[in-house]
Amino acid sequence: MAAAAQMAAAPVTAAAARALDWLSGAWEAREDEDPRLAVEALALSALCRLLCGSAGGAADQVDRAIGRAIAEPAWAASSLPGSLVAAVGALRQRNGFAASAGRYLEALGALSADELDGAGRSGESNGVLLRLALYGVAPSPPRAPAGLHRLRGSAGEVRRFASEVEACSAFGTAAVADEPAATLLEGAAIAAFRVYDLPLGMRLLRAAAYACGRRRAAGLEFVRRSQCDDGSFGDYDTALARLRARGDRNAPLRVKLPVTLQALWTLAELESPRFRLVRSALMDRGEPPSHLRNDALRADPGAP
Amino acid sequence: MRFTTSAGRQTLVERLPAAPGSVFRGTEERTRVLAGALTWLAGHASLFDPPQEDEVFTAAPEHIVPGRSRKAFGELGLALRLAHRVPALREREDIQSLTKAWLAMARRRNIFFDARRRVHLVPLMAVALAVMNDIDTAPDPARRALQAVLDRRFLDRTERSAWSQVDIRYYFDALGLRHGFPAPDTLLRRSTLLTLPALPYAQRIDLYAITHLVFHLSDFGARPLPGLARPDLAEIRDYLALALAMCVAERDWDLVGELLAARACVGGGADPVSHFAADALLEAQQPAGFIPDQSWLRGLDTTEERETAEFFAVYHPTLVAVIAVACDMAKAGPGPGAGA
Repeated sequence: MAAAAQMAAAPVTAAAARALDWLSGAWEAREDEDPRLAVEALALSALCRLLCGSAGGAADQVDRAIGRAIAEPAWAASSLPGSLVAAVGALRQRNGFAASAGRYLEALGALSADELDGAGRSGESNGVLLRLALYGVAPSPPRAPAGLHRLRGSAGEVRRFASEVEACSAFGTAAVADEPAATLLEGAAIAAFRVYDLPLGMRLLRAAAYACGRRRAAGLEFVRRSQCDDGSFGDYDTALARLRARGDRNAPLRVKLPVTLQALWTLAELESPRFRLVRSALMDRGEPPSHLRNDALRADPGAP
Repeated sequence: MRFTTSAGRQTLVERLPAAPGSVFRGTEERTRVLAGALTWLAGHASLFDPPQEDEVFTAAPEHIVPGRSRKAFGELGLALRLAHRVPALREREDIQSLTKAWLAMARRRNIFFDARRRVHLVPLMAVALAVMNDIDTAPDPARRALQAVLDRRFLDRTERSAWSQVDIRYYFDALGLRHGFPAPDTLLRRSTLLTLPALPYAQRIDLYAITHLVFHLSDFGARPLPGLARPDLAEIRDYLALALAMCVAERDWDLVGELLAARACVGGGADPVSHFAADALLEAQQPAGFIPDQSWLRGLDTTEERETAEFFAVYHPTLVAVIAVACDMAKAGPGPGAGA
């Protein structure tokens, strides 16, 4: 939280306030109730609350609007980072979703070590993210990523390398100092931006920052300049028009919520190396509730 | 040096370090890229043959434009010119053989024919004449013809980008011809080298502009970029590194070669990013020795005869790989065990 407070004057603060305005309006304009979208909306409001500080009142209003529409968010249906940020945010705020979020986190807390590691099937960083969120510890000491050759492979291989960097650095909370990997990841991020794969580009950009404290302007500027007049991120006018023509409802929220969440996450971490989402949004909450205490899992499995 | 074979592809199992300052990880990697490229070029030398210039009657001389065939011929000449700057390359049999073939084509095709009226061909004629000037003898009539065109005061006074002016000026300078192009440091200040285009939006042509500005303003690494302050040089070096990483991710092997060569030219490029990119280039090199471009990787246009289509899709990245090696060896030295 301290790092978030230090960012009060950072451009990301203004960007987050604008994003929150967009979320408020877009939520009111939704055409269908969607419990999965509710998770992502809660995650975005939680992140904006972190980044805006005193503007938290607006985030509370958004949370209440979501609460009036959705009784039970589909916690497990969203991306893992978004679900965790939303659930932990609800617990912190002790709002109407706190009980539901507690049950979700309790279910995750009941996972065995093997099951947690299994959560890394789609990328080993998921297991690390869960351990950080649930127990505040990474499963092993930081190490340099070893799979650099994957950056010469398919898009899937590139994602696996990004996941490895996320895991090795505990999502940027531990230094791994790998300058070549950082430059190559940043290059891959820009290549992703050039084909407008924003989620991949932003993930690679964050991984580049985790691999090396130094950052270049190119990627950061691209993300910054992707914010639209309405406060959301990503220029998707054509895609949204196509979805509307197909009768797709809630398209603006469905397309832009995850991108806006990722963009603010990326901006915040790139603007201030002291800000790390997992630390500010997931770990800085004191001792875990009693139902999440699992000494076997809290212990570092890599330790003797 | 030993290699193992894995899934039909050789994998290096032992490495010699390249000379310090090389953009290649080791001498063996650099030599393999070069040897493969030269093998393919030698096998396809006849496809670089330009038109028989004194038999081109289909258009008025002023309307004859270079086209891909003349361009390819000129670029092969440029690669050979740069190879001849490096003793270890100049002495290679394959370089000597290609050089003889290129010079024979130049003479047989009468490439400077009607230079005083074929004004659109003059820039490529200047390239070819500069090549001959360095590796053989530049024919005086051709030199006089190009000077006559320049003295008419239009070629160097038309509206062109700084990139285009730098490119053309470089070859006229190499030939010692009089012209009215602005000084190199002036052109550099007018170019995108000091206002680098944002990489997420830059088009491929913008990146070619950057590499060509570096090549010609630095005489392919033989001299520093003119009038450049140290912070500007640092920014250019950093930009080239990031652009290289981006092009590796895009599998754009033509630009990977160009950027490796550019990094060799400006210095500061002997780092793990270049080594990673050079390794990727080596992996992309096909068993026949050529380096594929993006159109080859996507699948060639089948409306054209296969051999011709493939040649024009891959000759440029293959030549660029040779240029990258030549620039690297000129700058970093041959390295242990390198040479013919």
